Parts: sequence; C-alpha cells; structure tokens
Amino acid sequence: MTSKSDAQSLLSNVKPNPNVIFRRLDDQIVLFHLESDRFYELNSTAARFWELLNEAHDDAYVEERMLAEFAVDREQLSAEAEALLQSLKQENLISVDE
Amino acid sequence: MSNTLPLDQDRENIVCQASSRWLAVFTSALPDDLPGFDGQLVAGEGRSRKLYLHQPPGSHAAVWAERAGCGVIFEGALYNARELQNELADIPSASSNDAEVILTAYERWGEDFLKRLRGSFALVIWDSTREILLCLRDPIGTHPLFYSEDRDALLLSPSVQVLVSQPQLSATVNRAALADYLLDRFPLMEETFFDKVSRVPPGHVLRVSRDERRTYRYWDPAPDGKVKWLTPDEVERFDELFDQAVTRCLSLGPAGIFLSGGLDSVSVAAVAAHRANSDGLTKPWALSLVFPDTDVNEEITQRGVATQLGLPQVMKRFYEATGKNGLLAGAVELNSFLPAPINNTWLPAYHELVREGKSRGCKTILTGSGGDEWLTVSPMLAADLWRDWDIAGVYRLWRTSRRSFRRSSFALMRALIWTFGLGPLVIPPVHKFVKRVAPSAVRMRRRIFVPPPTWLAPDTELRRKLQDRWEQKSERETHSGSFYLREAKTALDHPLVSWEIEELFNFGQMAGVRVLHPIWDPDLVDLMYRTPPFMLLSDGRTKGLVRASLARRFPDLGFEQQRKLEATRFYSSLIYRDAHNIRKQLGGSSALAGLGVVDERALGPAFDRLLARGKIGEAHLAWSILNLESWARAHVG
Repeated sequence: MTSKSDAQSLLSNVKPNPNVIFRRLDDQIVLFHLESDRFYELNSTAARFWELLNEAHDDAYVEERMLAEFAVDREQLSAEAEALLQSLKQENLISVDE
Repeated sequence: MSNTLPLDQDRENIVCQASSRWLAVFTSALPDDLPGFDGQLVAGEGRSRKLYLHQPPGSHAAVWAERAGCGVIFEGALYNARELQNELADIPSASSNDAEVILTAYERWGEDFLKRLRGSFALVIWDSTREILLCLRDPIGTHPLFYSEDRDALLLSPSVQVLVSQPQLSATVNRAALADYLLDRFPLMEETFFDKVSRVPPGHVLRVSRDERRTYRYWDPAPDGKVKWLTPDEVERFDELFDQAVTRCLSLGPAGIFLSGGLDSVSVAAVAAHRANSDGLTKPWALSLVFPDTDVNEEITQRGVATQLGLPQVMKRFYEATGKNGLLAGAVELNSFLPAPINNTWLPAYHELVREGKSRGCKTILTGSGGDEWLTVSPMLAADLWRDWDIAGVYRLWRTSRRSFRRSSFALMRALIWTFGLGPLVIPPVHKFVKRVAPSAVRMRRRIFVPPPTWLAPDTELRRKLQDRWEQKSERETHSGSFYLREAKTALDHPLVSWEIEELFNFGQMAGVRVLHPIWDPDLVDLMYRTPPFMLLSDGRTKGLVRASLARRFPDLGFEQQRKLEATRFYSSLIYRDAHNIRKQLGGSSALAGLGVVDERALGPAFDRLLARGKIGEAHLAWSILNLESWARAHVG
C-alpha cells in the first residue's frame, strides 16, 4: 500500500461548499457565495484546482491532474495547495472534515 | 515540448470583490429583537425609532455620519461633493466623508437640496428630531436601493439577496411578476421578483414620517408634467455637459469603454480620449465585441475609431467571448448570480470583455447606454404631430427615420401613420366610450383579442391577479397631454429601465468593476429631455447632436450617413439554434410549473410549436420561458 503524498493528505476530506456557485471566464473563475453574498475571483491555478475539487474525483486524481497540467513539482504543489486551501477555508468556500 | 502551464503566481489565488452588501434597519425595536443583527447605531439614540447599519466584516462600502440626532448612510460616488463643500464653507474638506457633506447640506438646506445631488449612490437620512426618514437612489438610479418591511422595521439594502437572506423575511418569489414578464407586462415600478422586496424607484425618495409613507420624484426635468423647452443657444451647452458627464465617470479610476461602432459609444470614446489627453489621465481601453453576422459586424469602424483616437483596444470575437457553450447557456448560468432574471441576454459575452479590461487595470467601464433613449426622438412624436395636423412635420419625421434606420420606407410610413400616429389618438377615446356604454363588450373584446396563452397562469387566482394588475396600471396611466413627453417620462420611470441599470450594477459587482453610463448623466438628460425634438434631429437624421461632431472627427468612417444596426435577426438565430438544447438540459419547466406560473403539460407542445415556426418576432418569448425557468430554479428555495 502506498502512503499518501502531502498534497493528497491536504486534499482528503475537502469538500466545496454547496452554497457556492461558480462561472468560468476563460482562465479564471468567478465564485458567488450564496450565504455571505460575496463574489470571489480565482486566478488560473486556483480556478483549475476548484474545478477538479468540484468534479468529485479522489485526492490522488486531483494531485495528478495538477502535476500534469502545471509545471510544478510535488513539493511545490503541496505548498501551493496548502496556501490555497487555507484561503478557501477562511472564506468558507470549502469545508474540511477534521 | 511541454504543454504544462506555469503556476499563476502573479496574482493572488482568491480575490474577494468589494461589494454593496450593507443592511440598514430602521426600527423602534431593540436590535436584539432582530435575530442575528449586529448593527451599528447611526442615529436616534434616546428616540422612539433608530437607524442601524450592518456591514459585512471588513467592508466599508457604506459611510455614515451623525450629528444632533440626524444620521446619514451613504454609498457610492458623489460627483459634486467638492462643489457642495465649497458652498458649505464650514466643513473641512480633507477630513469629511461624503456622508458628512450630505449631512451638513441637509442641515443647511433641508430636504429640498436632494435634487442637487449628482452621482451614483444610495442614501438614507434619518432626522430623528423631525421624525423623517428619507431613502433614495441617485437621479437616474444607477445605484440600487431596495427595502422590505418586517413588523415595525424597515430594512434597506442595495442588495436584494441581503434582504431575502434575513431570517425573518420570506424569500418567496413573486409569481405575478414572473407571469407578467411572459406577457411582456411590467405594471409596477416598485415591485421586484421577490414578494417581500420593493425597489426605491430611480430619482425618487421613499419618505417616511410619523403619519405617512409616500414616494415622490425629487429630481424631475419636467416638474408637474410641464417642460421648459430650451432655446437653440441653450442646447449648445450639450458639448459642455457631455464632457462633464464623461469627466465625472473618468474621475473614478482607469476606464474601459464598451466600444461598438454605433454613434453612442463612439461619442463617449471620443470625449473620454480627449479628456484623458488634456487631463493627463491613463488612456481608456476600447473594449470591442466583434459580431460574426454581417448585419451587425462593425469591426472596421471599431478599429478605425480606436486607432484614430489613439486608444489601446481589445477586440474579442463573439463566439470566443461566449465560449463553447454559447450565449444562452452563459445567460442561464448568470441567472444564479442575479436577483432578477437576466434582462440583457448579451451580458455573458460582455463579461468576458470586462475580464479583459480588468486584467489591463480598468476600474470602471463606460457604456453608450442611454443614446437610444435620449439622443434621438420617440416615434410617438408622430401622434402629437397628427393631433396638430402638422402633416409637414410627419413627413419630416418619416424622412429622418428613413435616413436613420434600416427599415423599408413603407414600413416606416405605416408606423408613423398608424402605430405611432393616428392609432394612439383614436384607440383610447373609442375604448373609453365603449367601456362607458357597454363595459361587457370591452371585457369580451379583451378575451377575444388578448387571450393569455393557455399554458400561462393555470390557476384562476393568479389569472385574476394578472388582470387586476393590468387594469390598475391602465387606470393609473395619463391619457392627456403630449404623447412625446409621456414617452420621455417612461424612459425615466419604466421598470425595465430601472431593472436594466440595476442588472449592470450587479454585473459590475460580480466582475469587480463599476459600470457607468455617461449619457444617462442627469444634467445631460435634463438638457436632452428639454431639447425640442426637431433640434435632436438636426441635419435630418437621428442623434443629430453627436452625429455632426463625429462626422467631422472621423471623416472616413461614414458617421454622417450611419444607420442604426439591429441585431434582432442574429439574436433570434442564436435563440432558435440553442433553445431546444437548453430546454432539454433544464428538463422542462418544473420550477415555473411548481410555482403555478405555467402549466407544464400545455407548455411543452406550445414551446415545440414556437421553435418549429421559427419566427423572428417570437424568439424572445422562447428565450423568456427558458430565462425565467433557469432563474426560478436558482431562487426557489
């Protein structure tokens, strides 16, 4: 059995908030939080990450896709993912089952 | 060769857009009585009624000020703040916010000063000494303001969503408004698509005192329905006021301009480029959508104007802007974000254009909106001319229309003789007479000639309500005076106009820019409203006030002979191309059927017949059904 990478560990138990709707605009995404009534804009990296989270794939798939689509190594991806998840969580755009 | 992308580290991962999500509560109850409310007391300490303001954490969209029991909440831009400060010499300009300027002006001049305010704003004033609450939007209504009542409290916000998300308020959608929409009827200015939310109409004050609540127009180019027509010398102020209008918009930050090839947006671009050059401002970006259809393609003009004005330009192909799913799918998607069904179906394409502008530093987007309302004349002028037996005037109007629109001479003549000419003169008196001598005949006639479709409003209660609403609206209408002026008033007071401007405000909030419309500037509208109609048609073509100037500025682009492009054919082709698929994706009209707005079983075959006929004039109905269904799905709890 292979152990989970850092990025996968971060991604496990992360779910997009169902009260958030989104719209892709070229390489960006606009999010609208129905409860807080706020708009957010995601840059291209965060936008792709958000889409993969919403496609309900497992954490390994999300990590593999990000590694395949972006010029990034596993370590850097893990650091980026952590920062991004932190921001998304802070704005209540995702939930994390602790 | 690698096809991977670099991480986007130039920009922050997530940017929260500044938005107008404040809530003002005017109440006699303690705030503890309002579940979850943690507002700031603005005014009314020790008084029976108080005004509170709640803003989301970290948001400072609204500013407020209080003195001696009088409180002001203000959000938006006040263009003439400095001018007011200069007159109110006792307030230090450096330290005062716009709410303080307004508070001082109110203390000095009272309620009458409201008509002097210029800008894009929402404003609430609670004068607890006189016990008067004033709630208003700017003269044109470019900044929204809505309200709801809850027991003895009045809740106000620029956001419909903020109001309907209050736990004590119902978020029930307005069935009658949805059904009326499908009949192309918009009978009530104050209503929204939510039962419990009303709008403060543009240019109006909602005034609440101890004894009464009323709404009145505080800014009016024709008070009491009387117009003080301008002289030719006074009309010459047009250029100065147009310049002022554009300058006001440019004062709010780096700008982009939605540049089509039409006279309205080109005029805005020309003045903006001139102002940017003379004032040393960043040059505005020309943001142009290139339509594929030859009927509406203006690429040569768009490029020519930007080049000659020296404006940097983004040209976006229409199908590139709408993406692989197409325009209608984009509009369906936008409905989730909007507090009313999407009004401007082109918005998804413009959203992409805004994104391009924003990535180039644009904070505001200027549009040419308002040109069709104010730079030209309503064809209802024909009815006034026929009433005065001014046949030469009717001929002149026909000749002008023929040179300005791409319609056949015969169709234009028929419209000026009957539709906009003798018809409005003859039909109302005949109708009134028949109603007096044989009211049942009027009802029967209505049943015969204006039957609502069988699939609409299947329950009798809703059907009766629709009839009542329409009859009440007819009774409120004025049937005297100038037809032309009634139409001008409609351009200020029609719910669709307010709705369209509110939608652009919301669209701007979503996109993170401010969308502004210089031609709708109140000082400019005041001038155009009071310009005698044939002066607006100088040189025998519509939009005479700007046409001559553009023809001089761009001699090679043919503005002196340009006729208005109409996108109706292209628009209907998009609808007929995609409507079937959109309906399939939506899986019918279950949300509207659940509300009792349509009878799903009857609507299905009727919709199929509509698509099979493929008539240009019916395309909008097909889209309206899909539009309302998708909006209702996103907003019915």
